[in-house]
Amino acid sequence: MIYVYCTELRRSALRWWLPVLVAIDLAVLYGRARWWIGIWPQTSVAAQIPAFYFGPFFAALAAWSVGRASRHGTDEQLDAAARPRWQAESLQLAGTVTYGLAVYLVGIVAAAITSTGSAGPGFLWPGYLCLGAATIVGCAAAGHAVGRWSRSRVIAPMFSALVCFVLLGSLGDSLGLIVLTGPPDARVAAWPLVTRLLLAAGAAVVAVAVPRPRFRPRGGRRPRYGRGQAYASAAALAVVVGCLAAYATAGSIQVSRPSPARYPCTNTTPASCVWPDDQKYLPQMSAMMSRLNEIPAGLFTVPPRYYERGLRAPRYQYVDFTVPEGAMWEVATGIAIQIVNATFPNPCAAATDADTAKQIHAQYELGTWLESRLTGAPQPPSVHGGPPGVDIQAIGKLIYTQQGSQLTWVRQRLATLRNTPCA
Amino acid sequence: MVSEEVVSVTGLRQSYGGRTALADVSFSLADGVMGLLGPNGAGKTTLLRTLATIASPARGEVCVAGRVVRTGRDARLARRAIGYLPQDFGYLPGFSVYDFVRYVAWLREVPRGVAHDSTLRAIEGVGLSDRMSDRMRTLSGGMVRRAGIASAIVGDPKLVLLDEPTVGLDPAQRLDFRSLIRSLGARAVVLSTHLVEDVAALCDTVVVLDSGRVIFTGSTGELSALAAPDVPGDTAIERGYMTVLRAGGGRA
Repeated sequence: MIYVYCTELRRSALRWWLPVLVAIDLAVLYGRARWWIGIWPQTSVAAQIPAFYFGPFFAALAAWSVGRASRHGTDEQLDAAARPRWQAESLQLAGTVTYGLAVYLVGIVAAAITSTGSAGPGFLWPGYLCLGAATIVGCAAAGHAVGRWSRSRVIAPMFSALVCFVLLGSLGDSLGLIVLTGPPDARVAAWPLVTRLLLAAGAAVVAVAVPRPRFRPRGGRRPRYGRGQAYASAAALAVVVGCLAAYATAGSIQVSRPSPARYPCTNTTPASCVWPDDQKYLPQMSAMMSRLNEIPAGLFTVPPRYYERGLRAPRYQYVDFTVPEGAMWEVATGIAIQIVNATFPNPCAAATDADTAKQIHAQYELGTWLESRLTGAPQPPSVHGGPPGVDIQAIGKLIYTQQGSQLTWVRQRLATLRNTPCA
Repeated sequence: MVSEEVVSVTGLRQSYGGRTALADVSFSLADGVMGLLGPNGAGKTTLLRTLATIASPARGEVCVAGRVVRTGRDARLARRAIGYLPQDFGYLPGFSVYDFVRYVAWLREVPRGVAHDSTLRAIEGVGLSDRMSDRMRTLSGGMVRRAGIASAIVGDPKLVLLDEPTVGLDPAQRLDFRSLIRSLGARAVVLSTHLVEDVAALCDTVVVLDSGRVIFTGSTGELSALAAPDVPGDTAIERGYMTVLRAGGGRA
């Protein structure tokens, strides 16, 4: 069996595609974004992302590959074989999956090598990598099943690829079949991951075990010898139904991760603390805290310490900052909100709607100004939108004016907030 | 003796749709080459597929290598003893000759310990040793047929079923094929063909089918002896065949 498996690998047309597939893998890995470099959970997710593309691709290839028997007229020999057909098809599917996983592995190794230099303690997270592998195996199995049930050489691969692409593209994230980001406060839940692996394995079992239809019965009745196939089909379908039930009830693939006992903080006052996985951001955090210290004391009440989400108790999850896709502007937003809230804790309800509008507008403007000061730059073009009614461009220019004029502008907003008449 | 029979068929009936393809076919075969003659639609391919255990009998019994085939398990076990070259013989063009024959050996469950040697023997037996590493797609039509025969004989099956193996071969290749069949040695070979001269040259016994019925069973000499003077044919066996068909009410 090993020899035949190796023959399937050696003789597969996929071997010629291998360099192209590896190039696609690396293009997806490095072309999509590079902020993941140096953060192990994000590196793991980035290495898993190509599975989103390879799933549909290998679904099509599996559908094409299984059509080999009808394309080359070896159906009759397979029907006359002592060895059950599912064994021959299993090796074919295994060959396709092996190529898929090999290409996927190249991306994983490249991602690991890239991150090793700059990342903190730890290594790749196998949970995310296994999820990508399950996606590739599941899609290939689905393609194999479609290919052996379809008479068309063209439609089966196209249909398989399209269905997998649409499924993963529209529902892959919400169904937990693929993960788009790996924040440090989240981890892969074991049982949901197991159910996805089981689902992929179950799909592979069904793909090879359920008897294929006979499109052109020739030379006699359909064989009664294959009566046991009905039992195999029933068993395989039962396996898949069981896997689907387990998957549906397993819950979210990502769950909260316990906060670490120790985590790195900037050596500044105030300080900013991040997950150990995100320690590569510490220099940027330190710079941000230094810029915060350039704002004259007394204007704002500045909390002494800022935390990345998940380091503190769950009640702070909507207070603490996050670093989505390495965006420092988002960090500044989280810190700015904390500063404004600390400066004006428990503000009273304004007397009129007009006062409320002025109060909120002033808060928004101060927040945006603080964000720009913390990052040392206007809101970047990559950040779309902003607080309603706030002239982002004007504030962007404001931070480059003299400190005095900026402080005058700030004191006007602070006065608005302090002097808002209460209801 | 019954124990020497490689294959026996008793009261075999096959039908598909409402049409009877085989009716009460009975014969047995020990070592040697049996020719299966008959016009188009006589049931030759149906009979070979039934012997290959691909199609189960509607009625009757098929016994291969001492095993009556009744269940899927019986069929799989019997297939270890059957080498089958279908009429529409397919091959994997990207495989080398060795890979292809070895693959069929695996399909036949030839034990792993002997599969390699058996593959080499089969390839050598059909004279393709020097093309063993070549891709199947690079072979000529005659060579592909020889590779197909190698796949049918790999693992030394007791029963070899060849369905129209000389279709598409030129005269020289057909002569080569005859030499090849003669070299197969002691085993049971069922050769389905339209070509009476191939039967005359190769077969020990002949079964003539017409409309799903056996209308003649005997040696090639006995078939030749039946030749009537007024039937068409260039050789005695051709005239014997036509005589049998005419007597059986079949088509010429």
